[in-house]
Amino acid sequence: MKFFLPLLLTSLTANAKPLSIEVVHNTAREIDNALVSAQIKQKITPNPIVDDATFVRRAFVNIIGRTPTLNEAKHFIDSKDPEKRFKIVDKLVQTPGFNSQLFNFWTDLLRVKTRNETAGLGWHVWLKNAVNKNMPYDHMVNHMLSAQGHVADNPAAGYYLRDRGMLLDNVSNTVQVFLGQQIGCAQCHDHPFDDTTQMEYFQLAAFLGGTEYRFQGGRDKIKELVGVAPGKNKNMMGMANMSRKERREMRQKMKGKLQKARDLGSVFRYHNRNALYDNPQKELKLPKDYQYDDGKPGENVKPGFLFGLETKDIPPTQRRKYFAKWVTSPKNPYFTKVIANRLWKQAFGYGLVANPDDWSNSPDPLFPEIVDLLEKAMIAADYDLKQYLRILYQTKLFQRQVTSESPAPGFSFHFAGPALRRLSGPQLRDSLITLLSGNIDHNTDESLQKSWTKYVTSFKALMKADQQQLAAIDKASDYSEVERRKVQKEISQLNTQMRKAKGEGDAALVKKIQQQIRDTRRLANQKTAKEGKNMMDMEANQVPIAMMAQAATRRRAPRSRPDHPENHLRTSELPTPANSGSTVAQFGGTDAESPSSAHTDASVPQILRLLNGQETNLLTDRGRFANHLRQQKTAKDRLQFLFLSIYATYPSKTDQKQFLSEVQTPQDAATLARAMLTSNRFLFVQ
Amino acid sequence: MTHLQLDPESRRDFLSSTARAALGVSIGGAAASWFNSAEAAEAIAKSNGKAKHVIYLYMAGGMTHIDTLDPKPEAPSEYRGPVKAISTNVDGIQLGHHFEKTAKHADKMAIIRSMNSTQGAHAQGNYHIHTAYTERASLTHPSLGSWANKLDPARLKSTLPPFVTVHAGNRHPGAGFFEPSLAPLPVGDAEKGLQFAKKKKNISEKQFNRQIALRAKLDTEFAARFNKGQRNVRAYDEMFDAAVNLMKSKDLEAFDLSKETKETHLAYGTEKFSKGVLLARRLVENGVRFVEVQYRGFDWHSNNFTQADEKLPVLDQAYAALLTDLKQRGLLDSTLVVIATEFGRTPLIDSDAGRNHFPKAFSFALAGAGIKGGTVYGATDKTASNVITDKTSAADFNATIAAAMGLNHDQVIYSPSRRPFKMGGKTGQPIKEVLT
Repeated sequence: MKFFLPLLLTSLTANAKPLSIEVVHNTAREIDNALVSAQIKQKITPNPIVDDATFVRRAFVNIIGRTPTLNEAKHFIDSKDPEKRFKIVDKLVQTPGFNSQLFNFWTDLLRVKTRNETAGLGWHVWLKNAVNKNMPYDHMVNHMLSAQGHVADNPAAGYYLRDRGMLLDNVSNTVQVFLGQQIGCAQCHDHPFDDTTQMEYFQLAAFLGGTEYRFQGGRDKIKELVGVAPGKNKNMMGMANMSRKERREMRQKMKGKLQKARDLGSVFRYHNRNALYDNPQKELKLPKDYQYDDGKPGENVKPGFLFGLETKDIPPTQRRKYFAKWVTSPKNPYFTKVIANRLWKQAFGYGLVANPDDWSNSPDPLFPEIVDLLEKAMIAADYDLKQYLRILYQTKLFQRQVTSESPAPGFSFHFAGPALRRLSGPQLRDSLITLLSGNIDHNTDESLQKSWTKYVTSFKALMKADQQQLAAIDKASDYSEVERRKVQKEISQLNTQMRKAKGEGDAALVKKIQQQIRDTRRLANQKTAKEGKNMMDMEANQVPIAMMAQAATRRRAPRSRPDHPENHLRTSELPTPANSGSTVAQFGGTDAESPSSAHTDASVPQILRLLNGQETNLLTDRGRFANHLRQQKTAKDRLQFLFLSIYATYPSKTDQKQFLSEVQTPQDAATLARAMLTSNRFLFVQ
Repeated sequence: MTHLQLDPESRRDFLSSTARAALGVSIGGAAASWFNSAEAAEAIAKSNGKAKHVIYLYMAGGMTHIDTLDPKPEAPSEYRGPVKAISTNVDGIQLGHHFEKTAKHADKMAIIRSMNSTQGAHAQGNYHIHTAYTERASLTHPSLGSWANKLDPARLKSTLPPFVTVHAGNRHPGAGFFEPSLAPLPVGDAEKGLQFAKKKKNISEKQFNRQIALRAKLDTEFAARFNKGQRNVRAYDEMFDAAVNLMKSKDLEAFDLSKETKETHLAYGTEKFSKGVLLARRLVENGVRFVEVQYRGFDWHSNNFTQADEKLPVLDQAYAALLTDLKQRGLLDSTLVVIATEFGRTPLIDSDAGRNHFPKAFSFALAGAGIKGGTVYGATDKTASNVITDKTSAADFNATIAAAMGLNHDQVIYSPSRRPFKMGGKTGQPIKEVLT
């Protein structure tokens, strides 16, 4: 056997290239060996290896986030290739399904809200591209934590803009998500259980002490064009050093310019929600009710790191860069281990450190040596998450039977095998849609990306406009703002009428009002476009550019296709979080309110949906699946079709004995299919 | 093997039930010996379990106290902001000016102005208020609604679930370590009500029954392997039975808001929250014991007052309409209405016209069954920054709800790991001053 570290270390130079098969296999074996010898010491017997059917279902669900299709399952089970388990893992990590699954992991952990201002859309699209391009984890986090300026220039800034106005909460979440520590309590008082004091909390937050939510680029542009920036100008033209009289005269002189700056500045009215600025003069202050001896209330706080790491003189303009660097440094005692443990949980259903969000309050891990090993593997894989996960999926542990008892909360898990898990919200929805439509992993909904690209283009055009163009754009955008409000008012009145009609159960009237709303919107858009064009007092060939630029002065609501099973799209192609009442939300998909809010708890509405919902009806009544089922000629064919499609297995002898008599007619087979969709055997992944 | 051997699970059950029997804690009815103070016993005896139902309105995100239930008209403007205090139908009780309609119901309300906790982050605060305990890695504590049904398992109407949440977020503690049947039924959108509760028309009763029988058969092997050791697997079996029962319920119309008149709809308001409150009334009317309706988006770190202008009138209208409606239907004598949230907001307004998290002082409201209306309990200082009298914890508050329902807040229930827990938390005591 080759040694683990030297092999991996050689991969350090080969950035972003897949690890060689040998490296992956040897590392996986290293992990297995270390685990088994630790387990033997603790008298834990590893579980036996699962059969092909169990493995193929587990591999598909874990790696690409959905159950296998009939053909995928059959092909794998029928294959005589002794290497087939290794091969399928290596194949699956290269498919778009892998990205889909990982993207869902991020939206849950990072609380992505696609519909939250323009920044939400930009960040969503950026994150998706980062996953699709397999951006190394440390780069990804560094990009987000050090992002500056406007989201159109740097969409990773969406990470901070997600919590606009809530900088302290953002800091708590950053430390929880990337470093696995809960320091939120120290926002108000010394942490009762951990070591973090309120002072330490504020010192850490002080790295973000200069961060403001505003668009400096817009101000700079106006200043460049008009001579002064809009808004407060405390030290305009060196006024601070002038006498009172001089100042008055200066103000008089500047009056026209200030007015103009204010006027033109309104084109950027929505941009402060979508940009960050680091004000070098600003520092974080201790809260007014600070109660400890190590600082005075209201006093400025200098930045300082947690975990006793030293800070040198930090230039005020570089605070967030230093912060990002500290979080993502391989020397940070938690950064690498935390993501290694989170992905371990993704692969095996439970963390080596039991609570990945709260290391300090987790019981001591049973296998600290594995945690160390994973940290090394992650660093050696250069934070390439795909390669890291590939290693975990190539372990023997990933092939072992799940444990019959679930991990006991508050205890470290013994990992005799992986934990039994229910399909997650997105996994369940995507599995149902795959049953309905076949493999849809390659389908993409470009509308979010397109919507974003369009915005960026118009933003760039806006930033390039000269004074005259900007004045025209301003006029048109003021006009369209007034119109927008008018229309909004009309529509909200119509909405009230519609709610009333709904309340009265007048379906015809509801329909009529819905049409009215659509018409109102369409007519208003046409009108503002036409009028806006007329207002563009410039050469005809300039007008389209100015119109495009004007689009960036408006608020943007991302359009996307509604979540419908016949859309043939994976959950990861839709805006997040899923609407309440949707399949994903009902089955515990993320609500994007707190990190890792997704859950797999049972509820009555879930069962009702499986019993009587749209997906089940489509599957058994009129969809493609129903047709295929009808085409099966014999009872045996029907049973095999259902078992391979829904359970990814051939019916066993017992299954045949029990169920052949139940599928004598296609209609009876449909009833069995409906029963299968509500069974625990379907909902859980062994 | 001939001798009887208990597997670990049943041994645990056996031990805990012996423990319970020894302590006399699993017997129903009121017995003074349960209480750790005569005062509390008296409070419970007095309330006489008037509240058969609870409608628990939860303002998610942390509702500002100084702008709503604890206005400070005398405070400097950097605290008070543009919010004015208005008089109510009870002398001496004032509310923030957004609560214009609520002000006409102050005679039914008890306002607790001395809430205090140490949980200043959303998830932890939310957990603490719902459970009266602080979050632990080792177990999830049950939330109020599950406690109520645990302590008094007799269902008011057998075909509807005893605990429903409306518009609740993912982080609801639900039944905690209690059995899954005590978990709330979550309604994601009040206007849609309970979806998919009707069997498809082209599926016959016979087919449907066959489908149910087949499910059990399909899971035989799976159940043998996992039911004992996996709580979530058992939960799905229980939920399945509950769902099938619910489909047969004659009371499903309780979930259907279209049965309400136009006037009622308009009285409650047109927002999603308004519909949730209306649904709560329908459910209570149909025998649901505990309904929690959440109103999200109270985390006003910036533009506190613009957001107040948007959201508070919605709460005001729905709350006032609910009290009026319950009263008219004769349900207010048996229904307790609660306003709760995870914490208050910093009374000193910050540079973005925002208010930040403030667990040191905040306000809750109780109204209806078992509650002494026209009461204010506890007080904060001149700027609503510190509790100066009758400091009240989440545990006390939950114990008060228990008392109003005629439940023993001090009854011990053991977790599967055999640790003792109570509806009123470790130390909670009912506030007798607000109970009738």
